[in-house]
Amino acid sequence: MKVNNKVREMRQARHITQVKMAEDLGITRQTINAIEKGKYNPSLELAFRLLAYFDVPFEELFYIEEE
Amino acid sequence: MRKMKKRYELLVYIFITLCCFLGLWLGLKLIGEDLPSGKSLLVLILVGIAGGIGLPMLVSWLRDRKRQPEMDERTVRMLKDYLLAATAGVWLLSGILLLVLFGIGYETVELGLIAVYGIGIVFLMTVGLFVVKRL
Repeated sequence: MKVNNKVREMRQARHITQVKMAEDLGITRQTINAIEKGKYNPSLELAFRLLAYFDVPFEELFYIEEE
Repeated sequence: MRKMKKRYELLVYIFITLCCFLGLWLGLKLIGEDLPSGKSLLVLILVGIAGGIGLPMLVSWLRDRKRQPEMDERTVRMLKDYLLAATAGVWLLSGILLLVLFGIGYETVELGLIAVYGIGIVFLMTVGLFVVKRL
């Protein structure tokens, strides 16, 4: 089981750059990149901040991929 | 959360300053009269505090002015993982080194050599920390 996300799709749909998003969320650009590539699962706090940032419900941004 | 971090940062700097004074007191105790005293000692203390505490605080303040932070939760987690792995590695390597040295006939180690070994490890681990922080 792997937690996946649609952060990249959401960000690109809103025409937001990784740098802008990193500045808005107070995290590094590398972290945004790692989350988008599925290399890093954000903490619950950061996940909630991402949800508030994109203004979407949890299941629209994160989903579980069965292996 | 940021305010809390700032408070912790200040506590860390206070702790480091106290450690500096403790180190100075220990140094004076151990070496004694060879160290400078009076005005020159005061100058040394002030330069030490300015260089060791003031400079990092200034750098930190300048970095805060940038909008994107230098570190976040992922960086902290990576640094923790790195330190854990590096510490385990150092323990293991030191153990192996001791066994090898004992195996080839050494029974005592000079204190100076341990100091050099320790400084080398601290230097390498610090370099590693900077590399991991950039990942």
